[in-house]
Amino acid sequence: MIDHDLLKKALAVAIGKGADFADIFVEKSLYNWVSADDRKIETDLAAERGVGLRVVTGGRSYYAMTNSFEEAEILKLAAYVRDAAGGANKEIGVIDLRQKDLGWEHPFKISAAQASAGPKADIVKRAEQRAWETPHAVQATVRYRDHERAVTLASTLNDSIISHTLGLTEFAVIVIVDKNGTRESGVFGRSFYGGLEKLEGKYAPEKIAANAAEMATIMLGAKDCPRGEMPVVFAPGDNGILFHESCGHGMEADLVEKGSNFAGQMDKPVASKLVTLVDDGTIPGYPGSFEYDDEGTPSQNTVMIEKGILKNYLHSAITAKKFGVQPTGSARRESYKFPPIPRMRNTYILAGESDPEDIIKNTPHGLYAVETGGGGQVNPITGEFITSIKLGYLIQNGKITHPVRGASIIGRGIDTLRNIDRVGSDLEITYSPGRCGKGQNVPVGVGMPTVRVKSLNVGGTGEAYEGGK
Amino acid sequence: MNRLELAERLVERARKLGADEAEAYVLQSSSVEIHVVNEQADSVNYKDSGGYGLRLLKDGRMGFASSSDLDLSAADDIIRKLIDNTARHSRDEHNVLPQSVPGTADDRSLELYDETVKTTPIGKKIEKAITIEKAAKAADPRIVQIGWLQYGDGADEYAIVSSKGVKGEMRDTSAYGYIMAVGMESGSDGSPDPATAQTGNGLDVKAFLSELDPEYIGKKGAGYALRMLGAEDGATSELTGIFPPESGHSFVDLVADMISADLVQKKKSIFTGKLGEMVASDKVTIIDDGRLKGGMGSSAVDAEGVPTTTKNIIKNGRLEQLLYDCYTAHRGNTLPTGNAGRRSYTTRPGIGPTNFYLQKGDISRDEIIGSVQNGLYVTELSGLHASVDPVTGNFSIPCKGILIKGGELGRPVTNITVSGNIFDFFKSIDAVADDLTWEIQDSVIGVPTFRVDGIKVSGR
Repeated sequence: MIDHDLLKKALAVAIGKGADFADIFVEKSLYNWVSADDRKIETDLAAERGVGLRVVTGGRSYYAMTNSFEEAEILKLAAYVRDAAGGANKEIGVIDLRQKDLGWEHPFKISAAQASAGPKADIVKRAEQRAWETPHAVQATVRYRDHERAVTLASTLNDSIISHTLGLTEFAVIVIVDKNGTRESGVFGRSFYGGLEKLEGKYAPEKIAANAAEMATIMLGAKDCPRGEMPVVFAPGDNGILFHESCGHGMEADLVEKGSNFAGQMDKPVASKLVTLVDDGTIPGYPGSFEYDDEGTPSQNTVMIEKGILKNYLHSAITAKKFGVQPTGSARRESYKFPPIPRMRNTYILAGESDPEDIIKNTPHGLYAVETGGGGQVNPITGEFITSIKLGYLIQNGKITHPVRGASIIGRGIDTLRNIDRVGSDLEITYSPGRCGKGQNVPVGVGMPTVRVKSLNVGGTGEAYEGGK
Repeated sequence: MNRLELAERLVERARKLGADEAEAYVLQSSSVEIHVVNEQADSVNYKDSGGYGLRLLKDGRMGFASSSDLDLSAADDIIRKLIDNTARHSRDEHNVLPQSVPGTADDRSLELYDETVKTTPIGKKIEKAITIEKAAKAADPRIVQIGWLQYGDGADEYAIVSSKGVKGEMRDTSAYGYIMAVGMESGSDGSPDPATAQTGNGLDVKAFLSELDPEYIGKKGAGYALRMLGAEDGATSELTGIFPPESGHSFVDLVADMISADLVQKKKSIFTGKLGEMVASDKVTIIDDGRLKGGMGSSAVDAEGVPTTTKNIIKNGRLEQLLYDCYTAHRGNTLPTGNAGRRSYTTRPGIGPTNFYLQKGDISRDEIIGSVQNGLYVTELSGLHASVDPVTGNFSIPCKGILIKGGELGRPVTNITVSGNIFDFFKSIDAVADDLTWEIQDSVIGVPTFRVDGIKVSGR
């Protein structure tokens, strides 16, 4: 995209006033959308290219970007950021950068950028057809999105150049049903670090549509979820969003630095002994995976909590230096328009020893949370978080009984982690559909086994909860 | 080549390569974002970006593509790919581009643009940001920490040209400051106790840099944190709810989202089939005014070049009007309301509010508080996007508040949710105060304090 000599030249300008390090990020990407909505197929297309340049000095970061690939513009950008960061002029020798080898297979077997809209529209139509077969369907929406990003990072931090491909293929189906004036919806989505080849087998478009259809149908028979404090058993998989929100963010080192509720807790117990929480960027094909992060640090599987003890925060190079530790490969950016900051990748709780069926049997009453509502947020300072449950079931006398709809779950991160009293053996890491927003959107994965939390505040739309009564 | 010329050339190229009609939107924007930690700039980001969005109509199909490569020679490739993609679309007779209305697309009388947003040196902006932090800390010794502090500004300049004769240029600026102030009470050893931490968000957005008051933002954040200190977990109950602007805006924002004719026509909105019906109490009148003088959501024309309008959305509880762009107006056999908006050059125009507000009443906030025996003054609502079902209107929203006993604000409570159905909620609004306040986040929303008879609270 841009000649390596020019990247070196720009870096030499950038560190010309004695910066700790500088990096330059070049990106050329194509974003495609194909949707079926209201029985209509449409597509969108976005071509993005740009250059972002960062100078870091004394732990402070200065960043600027341009859409131009012209030498004069890029050198001007470098000088601009250098001057913004300040410092005294310094003699800079020749910048020598090694090209890093890639160990991972190319993530896109079918290139999303090169594939035409035809096969993508066909896949969308297959899901659309299945979605409209749902009894009482009044609307069906299918969303296919992909983006393939060719990126090059040159950095004086590790004296290297890395060129690789990032991106995501996302597929989601929403079905709205209406039975005698009762209106409900079912939603199901999956996302992959890879191309069209992923939408097969278990993740074939019809299967994804069928999941949404089934959920809509069950929702029609659901009652309002009761409200109040109750034990909650979480089904495995996508509900891992609970840990992403309730504790993952508070362990991102830039938020720890600002006083998150996990600050000052290193090597201390922050969770039940049953809990080991990891943030893993190394599982090929998952939405939060990549070989190198956006500062050139190899991705890793970071143990955040080990048997209840806080072991690691998630670090960029900048925060790692401030904390006196090694970066964890967690520095990510949405695109060339943003500097990298510490982010989660695929976050999950490791499997425990309980039989998932026994967990339900041994819960006299409470809520079995099945489908997450897909969102949530956290106040990292106080640790107060929310996630929503779109579909759950009541547990009565150790048995799953009738479905309930629409509940928010709120709590404080560390309290919730300490209240976990059963962890199942059935870990599922999912190709979860979520992206995480923290000023910038990046794809993330989540996962968990069946987990029971002794007591959680459930904000349902139904009557006040009265335990087993 | 300037923006207008580029837009004209893009339309020309699209027509030449086979489009029946075309519309180009060219954006150039420059922005700054400053993060402050411990009274020092921790991170400074400059964005100087541009791009175009191109819509084209061919055989009753509407395609869209965008690019950040402003080099016209690269545009042909994009246009060819776009035409190829568009052939896959379903035909739809309602796909239309608007005819230009003479003398409107270049009407800049409602434009809010401040030269100094671009010309003020970065050092002055950093100073402004640091002042926010200092003001928060100076407000009270219990403000011991800052959870987030950000200053940002931006200047957007854009041109829109279509083969139907729309042609105009516009620009706007904005500047904002945001702080999350953290308050703590002292523990037994006299030092701040993190277990008592409460946060307060101070945010303000202005079109003119000189109007952005960092002291006000800092004090606001600090005040919101301080009033929650000592909060206890709330109990499950049913109470009279009072929603001041800092929490009530979320509900008006929700109406602004769901009132889109696109969602209604596709049966995705709770307002589907409700036009002409009572959807709120007679105290509720909601207006969307694209022509409000000085409004942050004002402009002479919308993102498709259609003149903006002023209209009642809900009049004394009755749903009177949806928000339309050209497509939905054609489909609904009505006129567009000038509510097409764009978030960036990378997305097609969509439907959105302009200056969208709940009309004020004639009693004061204090009178409303004084009228309540057992109530909850809701100070913060969180995660609305995850908490409201867009199909049924059922919601369950985590919140914080201050209990009202005998007409007076009492102790703060947290770890609770309010739940119900959005229609029941709006039908239970029985008093609206006179303190209309603009809350600007994703949309420009105006809301006074209002009272809701009977809200379900779940907690301990």
